[in-house]
Amino acid sequence: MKINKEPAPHADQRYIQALLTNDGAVLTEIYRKFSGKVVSYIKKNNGDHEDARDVIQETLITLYQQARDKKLVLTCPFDAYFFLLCKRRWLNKLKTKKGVTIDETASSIPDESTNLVLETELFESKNRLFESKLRELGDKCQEVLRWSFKLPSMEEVAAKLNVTYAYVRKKKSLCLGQLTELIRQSSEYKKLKDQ
Amino acid sequence: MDEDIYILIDRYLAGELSAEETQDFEGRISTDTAFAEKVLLYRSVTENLRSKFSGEEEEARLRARLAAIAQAELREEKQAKVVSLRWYHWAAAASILLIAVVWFYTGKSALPEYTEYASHGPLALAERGTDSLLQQAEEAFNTKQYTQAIRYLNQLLETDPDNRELQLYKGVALLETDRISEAEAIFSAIRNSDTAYKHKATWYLALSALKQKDYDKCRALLEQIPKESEDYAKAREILRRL
Repeated sequence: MKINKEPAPHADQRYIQALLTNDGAVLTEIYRKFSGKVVSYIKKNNGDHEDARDVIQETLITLYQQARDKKLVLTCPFDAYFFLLCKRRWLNKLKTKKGVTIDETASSIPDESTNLVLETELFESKNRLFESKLRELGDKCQEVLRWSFKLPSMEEVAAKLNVTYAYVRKKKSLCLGQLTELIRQSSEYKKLKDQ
Repeated sequence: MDEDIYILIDRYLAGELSAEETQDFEGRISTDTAFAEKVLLYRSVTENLRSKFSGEEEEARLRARLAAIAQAELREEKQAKVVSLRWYHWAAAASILLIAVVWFYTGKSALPEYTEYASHGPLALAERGTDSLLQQAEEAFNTKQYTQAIRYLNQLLETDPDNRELQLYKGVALLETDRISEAEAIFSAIRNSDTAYKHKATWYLALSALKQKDYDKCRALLEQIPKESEDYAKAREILRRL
């Protein structure tokens, strides 16, 4: 068994906490304090106001998911970390649009936020891969999986879908197995594994 | 796909294998890396789907909240700023004039009144078309139909009893309808919690004291509002006038 010493969270952990508790006052503070820099950066780099809004929202949602699923602990100031995440998200978006070239040095990460930024990006790539493979499953599988994780027991799932417990139980394992295989055999998975 | 493997993995993770089966299973994990990888990935996929599906509603609420905040905070700058600056100047000028006039007629600075300070930020809970109950609560509160607002907020609190924002607005609505002790009970509870709303709650306890003209209590509470609170300036102003 590995013993991991938990790093002490930075005082800015409260911003992460606010995402988990949907705390309107602190979330407003995030927008007031940290969005200006992101907006002006994006506007200076081929983007507009709407792009900035999307980038900020998606970044915050990713942080929320990482906090929820992986107990994200902030070990550096929120400011630099958040800005880098937004900036890199925007540069990636530009990269996928044709004809826009970006200065490579602009996307390199210089400071203490490095590890945390990479961790968050890895988390998001993994989430995206799972999500896209989930959509490749048949409708029946998606339905069974959805209810299996929404309802508290498999008995209730069986009742909900009007099938037997044994059937739904087996179906769930097989659908999860199929999803596991789809992910395992994808090229994205192999890339992520090497990181 | 080897179906049996995944049925076995699922039973293992659910803790349904016998002692003997578990031993075999774990033995296989330690010798067969491909198998171990499948088990780990299966578990990872399971955890991912669990938080994805069980957190769906919560995530949707957060998205709606963020969109509403962005709507308010990330406006196309300039124009809005000029207007609010002007408004601020006018308001400041008007209040200085008012104080001067009162001073002129009464010979002393008027005592602050609850109604001067009881301007509550609009309740912004719902995004357009997301949740009709939230919208109704919001509309009732923002149009000062506080009795109605209390009714809606109570309904919302039934499903979301720990929501500090809902509690705070219910407190304000109670204070406005002179249900002082109920209002103060809510503010006190929020004040003693470690949330972003605790200074807001102190501010409202002070306003409640002001409303009842209990100036000593009001002063004591206002003294506790820290600089970083958005109500600090108003608190200082009342303290000067008391």
